Amino acid sequence: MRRIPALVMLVVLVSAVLAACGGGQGGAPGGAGTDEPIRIGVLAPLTGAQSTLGQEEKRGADLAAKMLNEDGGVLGRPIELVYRDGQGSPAEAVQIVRDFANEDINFTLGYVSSAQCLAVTPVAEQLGVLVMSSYCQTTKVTGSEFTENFFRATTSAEMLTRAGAQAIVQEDGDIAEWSSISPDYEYGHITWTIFKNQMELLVDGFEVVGEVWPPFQAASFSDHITKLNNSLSGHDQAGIFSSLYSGDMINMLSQAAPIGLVEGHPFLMLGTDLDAIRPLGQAGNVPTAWISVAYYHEAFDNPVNTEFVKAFQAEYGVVPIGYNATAFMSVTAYAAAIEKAGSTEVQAVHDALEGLTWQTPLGETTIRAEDHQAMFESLAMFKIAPADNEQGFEVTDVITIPGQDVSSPPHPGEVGEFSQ
Amino acid sequence: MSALTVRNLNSYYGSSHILWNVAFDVEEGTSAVLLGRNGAGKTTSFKSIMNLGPSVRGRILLRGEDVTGVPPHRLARRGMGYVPEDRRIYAGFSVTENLRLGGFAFSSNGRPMEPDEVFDLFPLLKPLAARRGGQLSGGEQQLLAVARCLVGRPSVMLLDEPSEGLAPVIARNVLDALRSLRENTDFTLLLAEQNVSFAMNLATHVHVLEQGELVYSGTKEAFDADPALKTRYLSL
Amino acid sequence: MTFDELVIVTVNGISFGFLLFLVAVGLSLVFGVMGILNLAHGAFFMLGAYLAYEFGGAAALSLPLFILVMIGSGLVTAAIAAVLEAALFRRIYYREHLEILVFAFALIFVAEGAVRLQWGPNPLIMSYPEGFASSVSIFGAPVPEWSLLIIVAGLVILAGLAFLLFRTRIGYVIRAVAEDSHMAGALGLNVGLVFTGVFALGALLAAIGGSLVAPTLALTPQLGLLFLVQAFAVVVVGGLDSIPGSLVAAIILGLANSFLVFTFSGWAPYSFYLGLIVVLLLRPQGILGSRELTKQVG
Repeated sequence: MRRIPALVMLVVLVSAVLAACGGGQGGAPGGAGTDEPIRIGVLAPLTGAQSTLGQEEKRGADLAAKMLNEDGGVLGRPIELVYRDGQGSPAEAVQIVRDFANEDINFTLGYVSSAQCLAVTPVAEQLGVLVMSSYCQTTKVTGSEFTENFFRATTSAEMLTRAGAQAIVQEDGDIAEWSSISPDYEYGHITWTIFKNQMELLVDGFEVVGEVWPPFQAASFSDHITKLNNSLSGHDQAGIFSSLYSGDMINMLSQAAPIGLVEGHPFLMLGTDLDAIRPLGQAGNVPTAWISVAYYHEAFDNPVNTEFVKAFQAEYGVVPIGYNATAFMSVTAYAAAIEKAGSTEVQAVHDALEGLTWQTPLGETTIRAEDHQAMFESLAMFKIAPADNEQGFEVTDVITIPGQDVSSPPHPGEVGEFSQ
Repeated sequence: MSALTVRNLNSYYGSSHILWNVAFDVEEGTSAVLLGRNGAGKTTSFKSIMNLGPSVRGRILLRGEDVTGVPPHRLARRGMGYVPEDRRIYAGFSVTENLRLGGFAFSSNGRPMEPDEVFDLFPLLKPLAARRGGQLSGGEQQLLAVARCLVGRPSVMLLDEPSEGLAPVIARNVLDALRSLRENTDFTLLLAEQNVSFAMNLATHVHVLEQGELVYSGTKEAFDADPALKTRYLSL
Repeated sequence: MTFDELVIVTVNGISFGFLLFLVAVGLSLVFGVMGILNLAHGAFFMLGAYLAYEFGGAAALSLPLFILVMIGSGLVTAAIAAVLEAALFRRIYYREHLEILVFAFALIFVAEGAVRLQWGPNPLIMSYPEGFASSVSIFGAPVPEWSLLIIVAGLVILAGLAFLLFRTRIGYVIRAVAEDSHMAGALGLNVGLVFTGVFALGALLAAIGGSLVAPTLALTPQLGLLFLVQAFAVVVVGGLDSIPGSLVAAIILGLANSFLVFTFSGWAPYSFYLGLIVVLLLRPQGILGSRELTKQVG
């Protein structure tokens, strides 16, 4: 080979290998018999950079299927989950949806990135496949780029962001000065926009004192930390907003700890869950912060949650976190819709999902007919703080924010007011 | 006794078959020369014997012991010295450091030569001791390559085209050094050359390669007695 | 940019540069001696970080204990690398670069699987050693002590390598094999052994880099890929076979990255690629290198 193509080759290789990782385990096409399993396709990042999330998702979905099947299944038929490993690339997600359709699997859930959701929805519509997002938070799929076959049985970016903003103002007081360290892509920018719009409404004299945009999966956050730290000087009471999550949140906080970036500042973490907090606790770097993931196992006093937490602990030996609950809810939404429709015919299930009300760990939940977004009675917000215990942190406060306070009226086909 | 025996040697680079059933013996203490035109297979023969690249079928014996397939560094330690045609002097190392590298070829009988002993054999190198290998002239590099090989006290030296690329007067110096070496030290020499007159100054036996096949083996006297051989196989 | 910012950006840039140097130096050493671009280096980096966690745990250690853990991780990684070299890599040295690259790359993914099976997919992180969890003030700017320690570690490794290569008999042998491995074999040097040793030494350096990032970067099975492009950029920009070149390139690229975050922050993530493009166009052998990627063993 010649000298220069080495890098080109590397790039090609990386993409080739990443694409090749998309393969997965197939399932035989189902027959038409009445006790044949109802198959639901799950696209989740089971390996790769977001596999923590994907593996948690799988636990939640598996538990839902197990509980439903132990309870006699749906329409007397067992639920079977068919997993495909999707790392986050839109093209890969489209291919997986086509594979699902070819295998006659018309109900799908999962999907990790906003880009994936936006890419698969038009294809799903052509193929007659239903897409239920468990994770992609973008408001576009229920707004400006709404399609008929897309449903979200969980919270949206708007709900999480607004609930977080309301919680921190309600509990920590009217904080007017804010800064952000969020990932430099769609999700990071849209959440900060929603946050600013909500804060304008909540606090007089709301002001941005600094914002930095580290790239996704950066190896070093130190320059962004320094830059943010400098913009915070002279603003000792300013709040910090961050929609970094998983490994990026761990890395940022570990690298920020020596200079005490977040110490003394109100701090809101969006979308970060206990999976990231636990290792930080082991290393003694947990900050005092509010976390907005909508679910906390002790926040909801309803029979479904009680049963969910108990069964989850029995199955996995730990309490469930938000990622588990969202996948659980997506599976039970399909189950409830199929029961309601009395059939597994796609159009019937689609119609049943519109306006479906079912019981979830977050309480009674309804999928709006207009934009297919789930509406919740309330969302849980919790506060963590460093502690001198085995875990290195404790949950010091858990509150709920009413669902009606954090969602706009449906706006299918249009950009919502909070996202502009 | 035969110091080096080559039997049915077939060599290949990838799918090209370079050497065809080459066989010869080099008796202990003699100076054999492998003659042949450019591309006749002289260098490939040496690389095959040293196990430095070509894939090989056949047998190679060093003082009666089968050494076919033995890795180069073990061959070197068993007394097979090799001076490649491009000399392969370490450009970043000084002359003394280059000489010391030759000592790794040494195994057990006695000790490797010290640089001073080498300088006695090659007085031309002595004033260059601290010079970097890359700064030497072609003739100096050739002397150093031979000297480096001698440091390990080889029993057989494979010397590939020492006159190549040297001006005639320099080649003459190298030749003088080699002749005095043949008189003062004790090893078996296998020399590859296409410069017949240079080679005949050292040879006791002659083998001729033509397109990968051995076409003649005999004593120097027999070779000299048949001038047709030179025109047939060697004239350019 | 204020003076405070200038100070801390410079320190950040140099510290990140030294971190990159620690990751890249083994890559450069292995290429310099063996002529192969061993991307499996990323796997050894990851393994080193995980082994440090395995030996040291999540809680804070004293600095001497941390160093011991780091050395232990380095030695175990080196031993694993030596076995891999003897069992697998030596079969492919004479192949094309592309094949070696694909082979090494595949190995990273196998390592990802192995790490996932052993330690699970969830992120892990170590603590800063006792007394190194805060920052010091340099001209009024807060600089993490750990950043300074990484600079010191980089200097120690550099001095240690220089001593090994230029002041010891082993270094003399390594340099001879690096300059001409075929002739070294014909002169009686055991080239295979040197290759195994250098490969293991490269892995040891990668593992030390991995151990040193373990308090600042979440350990995940993808850690092997995280620094790969940066490390690759560092060795190409510095000169594939030049260790001082790697240091110079690492510091230049580290500083460029830091300054871009403060000036044209949108460009910061691309600083390494820009460096690669500039160097490959203007000086393909790299800042201090002598060999281009075309060179193979022998």
